[in-house]
Parts: sequence; structure tokens; C-alpha cells
Amino acid sequence: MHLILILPLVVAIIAFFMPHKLVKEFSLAFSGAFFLLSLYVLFQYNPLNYYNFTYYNEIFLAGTGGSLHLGLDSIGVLMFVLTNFVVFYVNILARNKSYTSSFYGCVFLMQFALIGVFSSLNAILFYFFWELALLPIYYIVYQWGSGKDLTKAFVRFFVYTFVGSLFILTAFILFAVETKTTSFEITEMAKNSLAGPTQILFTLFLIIGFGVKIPIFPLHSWQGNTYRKAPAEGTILLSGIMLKMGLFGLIRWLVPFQEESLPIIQKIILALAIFGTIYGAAIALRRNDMKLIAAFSSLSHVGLIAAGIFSYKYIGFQGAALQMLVHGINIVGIFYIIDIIERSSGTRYLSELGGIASKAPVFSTLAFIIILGSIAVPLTNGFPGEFLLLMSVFMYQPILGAIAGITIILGAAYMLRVFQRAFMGEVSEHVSEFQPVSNGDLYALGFIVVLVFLLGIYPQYVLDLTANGSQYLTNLLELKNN
Amino acid sequence: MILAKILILSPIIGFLINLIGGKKLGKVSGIIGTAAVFISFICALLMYRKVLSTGAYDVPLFTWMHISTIHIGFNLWVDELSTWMMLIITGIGTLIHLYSIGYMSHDKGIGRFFAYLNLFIFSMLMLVLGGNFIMLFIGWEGVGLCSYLLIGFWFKNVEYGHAARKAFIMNRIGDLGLLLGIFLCIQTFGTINFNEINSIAAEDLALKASGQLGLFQPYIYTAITLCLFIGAMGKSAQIPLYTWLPDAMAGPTPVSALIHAATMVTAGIYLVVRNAALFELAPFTLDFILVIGMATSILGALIGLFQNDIKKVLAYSTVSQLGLMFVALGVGAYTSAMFHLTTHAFFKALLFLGAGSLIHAMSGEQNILSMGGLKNKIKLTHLTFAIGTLAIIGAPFMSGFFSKDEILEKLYNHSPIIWGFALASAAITIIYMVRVYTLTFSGKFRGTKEQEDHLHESPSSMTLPLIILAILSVFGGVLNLPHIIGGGSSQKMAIWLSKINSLKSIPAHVNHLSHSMEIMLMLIATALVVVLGSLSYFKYKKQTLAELNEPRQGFSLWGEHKFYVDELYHNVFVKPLESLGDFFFYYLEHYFIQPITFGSYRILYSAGKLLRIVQNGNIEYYLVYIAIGAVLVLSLSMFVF
Amino acid sequence: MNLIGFENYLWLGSALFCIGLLGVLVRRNVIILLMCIELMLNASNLLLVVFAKMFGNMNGHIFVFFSMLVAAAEVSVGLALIVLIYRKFRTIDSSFLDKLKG
Repeated sequence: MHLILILPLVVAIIAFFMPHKLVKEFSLAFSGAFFLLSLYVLFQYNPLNYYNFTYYNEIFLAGTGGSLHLGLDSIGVLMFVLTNFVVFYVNILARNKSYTSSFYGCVFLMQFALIGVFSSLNAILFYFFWELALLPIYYIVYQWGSGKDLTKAFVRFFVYTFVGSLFILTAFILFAVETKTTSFEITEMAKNSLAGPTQILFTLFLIIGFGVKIPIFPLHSWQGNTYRKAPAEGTILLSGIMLKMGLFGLIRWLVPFQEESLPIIQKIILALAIFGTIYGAAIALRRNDMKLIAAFSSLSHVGLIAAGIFSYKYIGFQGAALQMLVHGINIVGIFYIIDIIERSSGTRYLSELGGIASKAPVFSTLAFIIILGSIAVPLTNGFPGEFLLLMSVFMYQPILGAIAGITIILGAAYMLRVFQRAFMGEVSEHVSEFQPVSNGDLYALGFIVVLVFLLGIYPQYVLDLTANGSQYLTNLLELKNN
Repeated sequence: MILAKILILSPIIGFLINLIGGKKLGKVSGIIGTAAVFISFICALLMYRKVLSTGAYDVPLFTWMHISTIHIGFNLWVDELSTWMMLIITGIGTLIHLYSIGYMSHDKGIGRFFAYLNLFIFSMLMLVLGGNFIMLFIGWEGVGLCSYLLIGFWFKNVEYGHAARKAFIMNRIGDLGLLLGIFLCIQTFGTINFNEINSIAAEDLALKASGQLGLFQPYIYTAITLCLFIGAMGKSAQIPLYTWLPDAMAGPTPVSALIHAATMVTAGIYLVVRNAALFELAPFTLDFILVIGMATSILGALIGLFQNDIKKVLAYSTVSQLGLMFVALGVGAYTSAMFHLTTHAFFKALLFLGAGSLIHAMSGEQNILSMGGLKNKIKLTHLTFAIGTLAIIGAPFMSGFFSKDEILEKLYNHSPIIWGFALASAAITIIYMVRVYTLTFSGKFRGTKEQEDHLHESPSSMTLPLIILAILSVFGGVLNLPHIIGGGSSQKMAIWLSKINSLKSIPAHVNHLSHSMEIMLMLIATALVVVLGSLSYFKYKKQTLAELNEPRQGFSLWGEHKFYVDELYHNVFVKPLESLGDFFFYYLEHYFIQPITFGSYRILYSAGKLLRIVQNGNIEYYLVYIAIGAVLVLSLSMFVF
Repeated sequence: MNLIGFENYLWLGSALFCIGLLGVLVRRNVIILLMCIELMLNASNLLLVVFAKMFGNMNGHIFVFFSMLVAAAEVSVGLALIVLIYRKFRTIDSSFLDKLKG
């Protein structure tokens, strides 16, 4: 089983040194194979208790006597599948462009690192993979990004994420120093506990570290410009899967260590997350650049997920796990759509678009369904997760729940505005030369549409998978609070 | 069991065929769409018979979601209320599909149109058949979505797109209320199954009736029912969420008939009746519903009085009639509201389809000031439209007469003042409906020459539904005749509906009214129709084009501009929200968030600048630093520690 | 056995180290710098051996082997670098080699 971690690394190294002509087909084939492999892993997966990981690799460090464990729990396996899905889609999208081999190498290197992040059971290993995952995306954003002030946007992104990572490392070191533990294995760490001010410091550091990546409200200002300047593939990687690193980090590394309840911090973070939800939606209402709208909609969606996690409830964890997967799928679809529009009409500004529905009806139908998923219409995949998350926040505090609920109104407002401006109305000047959308792109979007309906009509499959994990976390919290 | 599955699946299959088939199907798509709904109608009839003989039953399909103790199944609950709604939806739905074959025959997107219509029927059936709140919510949002798609059907028109978006967003505001209501139900009762909730509420009702403390505090019920009612407000276009409905007339006319008159907008009434036991426990909410319903009824009628677009008049009339139904709900007359819902579905569908036929004949003209004298040109449309008008104004022995009279009677029983208000609303209805009828069909033709030459009666696929609906509008009253005509047993519909779980437990309201009083009320209503009807008929018949086109002043100008409610909403809600978005983006983001968070970058940058001095590239200096460092460390370790 | 006292070795080692250090700090010729570093390294090697002998601990001897190995490698790489530097800049005066100025 350790192959699923190592293979992407091998492919990455091969891709780096491949001739530019061959690399496209090579990486597409391999990423497709990885995706199928990950589905196989998913169907083979037996949902066990939270810490009953199915170990697939053990690396012994000679001399230290410790061991570094890797394993997938039920939420991790979802993220693992999502990683492979996103990388597959990045390769599908890159098919239409001419990238050098190093781009593909970076993508696979990132896949390797991301799988590491989602399967590390050791804090230091986790940190190693976390940092490793950042390196390729820095390169992708800077090398293939475009637009003026790219450097400025990049430096901001770099500094933010880098400083954020340092907070995570500091938190882990703090934990080790305080508890005098010698092992960073999560199972060992769980035996110890922090108390008093160090607990608060630990929690805050982790929240800042993960919060930059998610991003939670005041830490988000790297996001908009980076998304705008990065190539579409980079944006998909960032929003589709890298945001989930932060959310996953919260679930894996923060929640189990919430020794005593910290109601004040919990309240502040919930309030911030929900404010971010509304904030992102309100900003998205008026923007002209589709990528920026998608960026702020993403801020809005992940804010709700973070709020669900911080309500510390079973339904919140369940909803968060489901919504992490669903948001990954939908946002990939949305950036894919934006990229198709940009390629076909040469612009992604709403003011210059209009009437795509008359030019490309099938594409428009598919796009509409993905947008429906994003605004959480029942029987599409966005609804069950959003329902659970809102309910969880509502159960924690009805007023907050009601405020968070405003997002379903605003979400519909800005998303339908995009659809209306870009797809409906008279054909605009730019759209009049709209290139027909290739069949490959249509099939790719069609697959996302299938997922939109599958997860919307039968979400219980995912919920069954993550039930034990969420139950474990809930029990843990209850146990510690009593 | 299988019947319910066919009933649900038939429209969705029609939807898929029409969506995938698209343009290739051409006119066949209309036949497929109609057949799909007709099959559902047959199923609904058979299910009606089954419910009649064996009573209500549950159809579990699969588990949608299971979270800790709450089980949310994909369950269909077939009982007296849902069969009743099913019959209306599929029955009128079939007629309107049939009508659309003719109406949309010139449109290129006919396949898409029927796909959306079928999807709508599916969602609406989900809504009324759902055995729990989530199933209802799925249908609830589904019909909102279909409404969006159908209003914006002619997507090239930007205005229509705006109307569609407005409808969807206003509905979403209501949906949020409904969603919060669902959360409260889960929190309070631990279930979202209608039957379980109703039995808890029934238990509580019984406890409170016997003078004991109930299971839950009254304010909990008030909160739940208020949330649910907000949902109903959005869907059924009540104040303050009513402005989307008149704008929704941008869609093709059959859509207005099906969605915005007969079926979707009645979902709010259905929701309240479905949970009547809960509402019965929250007297405050009932009063609230009464006030909102009454205000909406009068406001809708007033605005309708001053509109010149025939579809707009009918739309405001729908708003007004829905208000009346809510007034009935507010006094606890649930079956009366359902009765009026039914007859309203008949005659309002008839009126809209008639208006569609008119517009078809007039080559797309919707302004009644440009019509007139059509009485002899399109006879069948004229006849059916006249019947619809008579029914809505409550002319004696038409369906609208009985249903409206029953509500008025219940209101008088509750309080004569409310009765007075409702009567005023009914009086305004008489005036504007007669106005529309007279300006359209009497007098001289005021349109252009071309339009006059083009005038023609619609094809038979359009007139057949008109005839059927006209017959229903005339005789629909027999479903629920008042006491004084046939005694208690003539109220067939009330007896049928009283078997459902939510109404079973509610104690019957005492009727204070004597028979003579009831007859008296009926006579007053009849006199009102005759006097006001003939007065306004002669008033509008005489008016010339010049008089009609006179600019309005004062109150009527306000009425023509819909009392500036749209502008109010735009300035009070939409603009501030947009400015808030801009404020967040241009100010908060740029001047607050970025300086604070970006400060970390600035600090590092200036620290780096400072340290550059040390890093001068000359190796000797580095070596000196090393030496000094080593000495420092050594001496520290020797002398300090 | 102990013909010469341990303290003499220690003095020698320290003196060698100080000479090396002084050379490193004062001289600018890179080759001389390298020689001085070598001197310091050997001084510490000497001290390691002496201390190991003093305390009867074998670890010191092992360390010396390691550092001798490393020093050999370091010198070869260092000299090669110096040759390259000379070819490129035509000087081996360290005060002129400040391209890495921050």
C-alpha cells in the first residue's frame, strides 16, 4: 500500500526529466491511473475507529528508536481521493496549454506531498509534508502566473503561508516542550495534555497557522490576488485541495488536543468564520473578475466549514468532512468553467461577457448545474453538507446559525449574477467569436455534474464513511469536557 | 407503492428525454411532456381511490441522511391532503401542458420548455408528497429553481433574467426561514417527520385543552411557526416578500398559469395546513398570519386596480387571493383555505390561459389599453374569460362564490371587523376584474391596424383546456357546498381533509352564526357583486382612449407605481448591501485587513534591510563575527552559567 | 610512561589554535586562510586525542579519524575552489571577493 505515496514521487521525478513533447500524455495517463487507484482504495477502505488507521507504511529512523507512522483515517481517505481527483483535473486542464515538463513535475510532487499531509500520523512528518506541498505551488504560481504585480501578489502569498507554517511548527514544539514528550506520534501526543495558558497559546498558534491556509477571515488577504494572478491550474490546486489542508489540520491536529474547552476562543473563531462567510459573499456580489468572485465565494464556503468544525458537534464534523469533499469538487468545476470561458472568448470579466448560452448550450447547461451545486440547491451535492453545517452552528447558538444562514441567500445572489451576466442576455462582442468547447472538456465537466447529483441524492455513502471518525472526535471532546 | 413511484418518476423521465433530446425532438417534445404528466394524473386518480378505501400510507424509498439520532428518509407520505394537492397539480398541469403545445409551437426552445415544466411538476409532487420536512424542502427549493428557469426562459432578455433572479432570491429568503424552522423542529422534537411532529403537537394540544402545562413552552411553538411562516411568505408571495410574483410574469404565460397561479404559490398554504396542529399551538403566529394576509390581500388588490398590463393585473390578483387564503388560515379555517385554493387554481389558471390566448391573438400585446372590442373576434376565449371573471369576483353559484363565501362566513364568525376588511378586498377585486374584462372585450378596438388584421382564435389544443377549466370554474363549488344548501354532509372536501393527521387533533371551531345570518352574509356579498360589477362595467365601457391615457395623479399614480415598494426595497436592502460589498472590498480589505496582516511582511522586510549591513560580502568580517561569537559563547558558558 | 605531562600538550594545542585563528583573522590570501584553518583543525585534533588519553575514553580517537577524513576532503575541495576563483577573478585576495554582498 505504500505505493500510493511513493508512486507520485517517482512519476514526478520522471516528469521533471521528460522531453516536453511526451510529458502531457504521460502525466495525464498517470494522474488518471492514480485517480482510479484512489477510488479502489476508497472502496476497499474499511471505516474503523479514528485512530485505528490502516497503516500502509512505517519508516523507521535508525538510532532514535521512534518510528514515523503514515495512515489514512476516514476523513483522510476522503481527502486522499480528492487530491487525486484534483490532480487528475489539473492534468486534464493543462492538456489545452503548453507547459514545460517541470510544471508536471511540480504537480506530481505536490500530489506526493499532499498525500503525505493527509496521511501523516506524526507531527513532524506532517510539518515536513506541509512545507513540501508549499514549494511546488510557489513555483507554479510564480513561474506560470501572469498579470501585473505578480511579484507583489506572490511575495504576499509566500510570506503569509510561510509565516503561517512557522506558527504550526512553534505550536508542536511548544507542545513537546511543555509535556516533555519525546515522540511526535499522534497516538503518543494524545496521551499527554496541555493546560492553562500554554493550551491557549497552542490553540491560537495552530488556528493562525491553519487559518492562513483555510483562510479564516482576517488572514485571507493573500487569497484574492494570488487566485487572480496564478494560472488556472494553480488556482485549482490552491482552492481545490490546499484549502482543505488547513481544514484537515484543524480536525486532525487541533480538535483532539482541545484538553479543556476554551469557550471564548471557540466563540471568537466561530464569529470570525461566520463573519468571513458573509464578508466573502458580500464582496463577491459586486466584483467583475470571475476568478475574484470564485475566490471570495470560496472564502465564504470555507468559512462555514470552519464554523461547523468549531461548533464541536458530531453533525458539524460530519458536515465539514462532506463539505470539504464537495467544495473541492465544485470549485474545481467552477475554475474549469472560468478557464474555458477565458480560453474561448479571451476574457473573464463579466462586463465583457454575455450570451454564452446561445453559443454553447450544452456547456451552459453543465455550468449551470455546477453553479447549482455551489449554491446548495437540494439534490445537488452542496445541500447536505451546508444543511449539516448550518444545523450544527444553529444548535450551538441559534442567532449565529441564523446569521450564517444569510449566506444561502447571498450565495444564490452572486452566483446567479455570474450566470446571468456571462451566460444569459445578448451575445457580447467578445463572446461572438466564442470557440466551441471541445468534447474532452465537456466530458470532464459532465463527470463533475454526475458527482454533483450522486452526492446530492445519496450523501449517506460519505456520511457512513466518516461517521466513526466524527463520532470519535465528539466522544473525545465530551469526555474531556466532563 | 408502485403507483407513487410511477407518479414521481414519470415527470422526471419526461424531463430527461426532453433535456437530452433537445431540439431534435421538435414538436414531439410537447407530446412527451404532456404524456408524462398525464400518466402522473392517472396515478394520482388511482391513488385517490386507494386512499379512499384504505386510508393514508407511507412509501419509504431510501435513506437520504442519517445523523446520530435523526433519520431522514426519502419517504413519500400519501394521505388525503397530498392526494388532493396531487390531483390539482397533475390535473391542471396536464391541461397547461396541453395548452403549451399550441402556445409554444413557434418557439425554438420548446424542448427545453417542456423539460423545465416536467421538472417543475416533479418538484411540486415532491413538495406535497414528502413525508418529512427535508423532502418538502427539496421540493420547495426545486419549484423555486424551476420558477427561476421558466421566468428567465427567454434568456436573451436581460430584464427577464433580472425578474428570474429576483424571484429566486426572494424565495431563498423565505427558504432560510423554513430551514431555520426545520432546525428548530429537530432541536425541539428530535424529528422532522410530519406525522411524528403532528402527534407530539396533538398530545400537547390535548394536554393544554385539559388545563395542564404542555410539553413545550408556547414561545417555542411561536418561534417554529413564525419561521415556517416566513418560508410560506416567500413562496406564497405575502408582504413583504411579494414583489417577485408580478415580475415573474416575464415568463411565458402557461408558466404564469401553472406556477404563479395554480400550484407553486399555494405551497405556503399547504405548509401551514400540513402543520396545522403546530400553528394551533401558537396563537400569536395565527394572529400574525391574519394581519399579514389581510394587508397583502388589500394591497395586492389596490395595486391591481391601477395596472394596465393584463398579466400584471392577474398577478396582483393572485397576490390578493393568496392573502385571503392566509386570512382564512389565520382564523383557523384550514379547510376553507384549501377550498379556496382549489377553486382559485381552477379560475386563475383559466384567466391566465385566457389571457395567454388573448396575447396570442393580439400578437404579443399585453396592454389592455390597446385592446377592446374583442368580444366578437375571439368568441371562445371571450366566453371562457368571462366565466373566469365571474368566478373570481364571486358571482352567485360560481365556484369562487362558494369558496369566498365560506371564508367570509368564518371571518364574520371570528370578528365582524376582519370580515369588513375582507369584504373591502373582495369589492376591489370586483372592480379591477370587471375593468380588465370590459377594457379588453367591450367598446372599440384600440390597437394597431396590423394587430386587427392578425386577430385569430387559438388552435384547439389551446381552447380545449380553456373549456375544461371553464367547466371546473363553474361547477367547482360542488366540492364543498355550504351547510345551508345540503346540510353537513355536503361539505365533502372538509370531511375528506379533516382525516389528515394535522387537522384530526384540532378541536372544531364553534359556529356562532345562525342560518339566517349566513344567508344574510351571502346576500350582502351577492349584492356587492351585482352593484359594483355593473357600476364599473358601465364606467369603463364608456371610457375613450384619450380618457384612458390621461396621466394619473395622486393616489392612483402611486398605485400605478406599485406604491414604490420595489424602489423602497432597492434603496433599503439592495443598494446598502452592494455598498457594503464595495466597502468591504475597497476600504476594509485595502486599508484595514491588508495593513494589519501585511504588516508581518513589512516588519520582516525592514528587518532584512537592517541586517543587510552586516552581510557585506567580505569574508574577513564574517570570520571576525565568528570569532567574536565563539568568544562570547565561551565566556557566557564559563562565567554566567 | 608519562615522559611529557599532559598540560604541555594542552598548551601546544591551544597555541597552535590561537596562531591559526590569528592567521585567519589577519591574512587576506585565501590559500593562507585555508592553511590557517587547517592549523586550527589539527590543533583541535591534537586536543581531542589528548583529552581522550586523559580520560581513557575511546570516543575522542574516533572523532579524530572522522575529522581528519573530513579535513582531507575539505582541503581538496577548497583548493579546487581557489583555483577556479583565481581563474575567474585573477586574484585570491579575500577583500576583493565580495560579490555576495547582501
